[in-house]
Amino acid sequence: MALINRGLLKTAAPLLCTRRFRGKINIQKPRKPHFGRQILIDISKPHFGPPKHLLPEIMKCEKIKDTIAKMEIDNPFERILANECLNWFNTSKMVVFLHVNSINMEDKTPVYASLKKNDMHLRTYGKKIVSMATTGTRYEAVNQLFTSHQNIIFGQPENAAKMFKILKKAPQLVVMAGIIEDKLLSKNELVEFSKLPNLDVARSQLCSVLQSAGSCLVGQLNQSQQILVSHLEKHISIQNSPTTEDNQTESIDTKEES
Amino acid sequence: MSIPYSGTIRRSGGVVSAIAKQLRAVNLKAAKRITVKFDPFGDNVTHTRNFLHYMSSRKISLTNPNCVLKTEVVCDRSEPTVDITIVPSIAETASLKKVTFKSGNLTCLELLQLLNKHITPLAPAEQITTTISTKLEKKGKRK
Repeated sequence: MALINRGLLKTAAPLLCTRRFRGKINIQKPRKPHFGRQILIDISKPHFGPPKHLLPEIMKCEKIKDTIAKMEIDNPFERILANECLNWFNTSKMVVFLHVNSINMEDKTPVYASLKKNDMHLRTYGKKIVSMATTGTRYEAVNQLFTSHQNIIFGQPENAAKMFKILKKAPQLVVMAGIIEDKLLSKNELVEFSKLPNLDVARSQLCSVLQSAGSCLVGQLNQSQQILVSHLEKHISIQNSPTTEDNQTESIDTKEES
Repeated sequence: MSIPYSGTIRRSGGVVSAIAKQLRAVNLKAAKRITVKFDPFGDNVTHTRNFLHYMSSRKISLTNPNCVLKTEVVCDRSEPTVDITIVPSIAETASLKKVTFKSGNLTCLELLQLLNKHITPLAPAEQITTTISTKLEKKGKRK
């Protein structure tokens, strides 16, 4: 028997504790409960307010329920997120706002990864957090955009062209507007900005434009003298060439004579 | 004195369920191209953007894989619109080439209802494909 029991699964014997044995149940003189038990009883006692017919009319109004429900509760986590969001706004010189259509994480992750490789950060913040972060600051106009689903890209303006190239692969992410160097730009302006050349190239172009004014003036001043000089040179060359012809005809004559 | 029962037996599920019901009914087989155009800084673009978000979902795009959904962002303070170009073969029979919704004053639910009213009925009826018959059935048919 013991061997069979050893083979079977051993169940723990239940812990039995006797409460009463045969005697009568005590109701008339209940003993005082333990302090801990008494505390629990006192906490869980139901509390009933005054009956409705005794309440003044104003307390019976049902419109208060809506106003109380909408009372804003201060959430410290939301404050932390709002601070983080504002930090991102302040540290990144380029902020681009995207409208998000329905997209899988499967399709979104490669975009996120390629943006990250190019030192750009795709982040999602909700309407409430962004409004908490931006109201009162200079970014307040941005709240208008946050009505549906949206994402934000934080980065540096040098990578604007790369960003557009990466976003071409995800047609569900639509560029709406952007902030570059504290200036709010529309989508078309963003596209134009991305097509601009490098800053050094732009500076050199500016230098050449500035210089072209002066060089143009110099050229125009010298134009008449140069024309005169070129005419004179041509005249000389024409004069020289008939002398060579004369020499040639003389040599033929001398040959013929000889 | 008892008053006979009046009112609904089932309660309405709210706007969200109504939108879900419309979305389940959407069939884009008649649409060749859908272009949603909006100005992001406009006041009345919330519903258009929500409509666009629903339209871009996978389920709806699977009803017609050839239908292209294009999003246009403009910055000239123009009203948001939804342009739907009908497939040419259906356009001939229905005498309807293009449908435009001016969604400045329309809610998302109304947009979907209009879509289901005008575009979904144009979808061609699904043809029952031939089922694969087993050898035994074929033998029986021959006999």
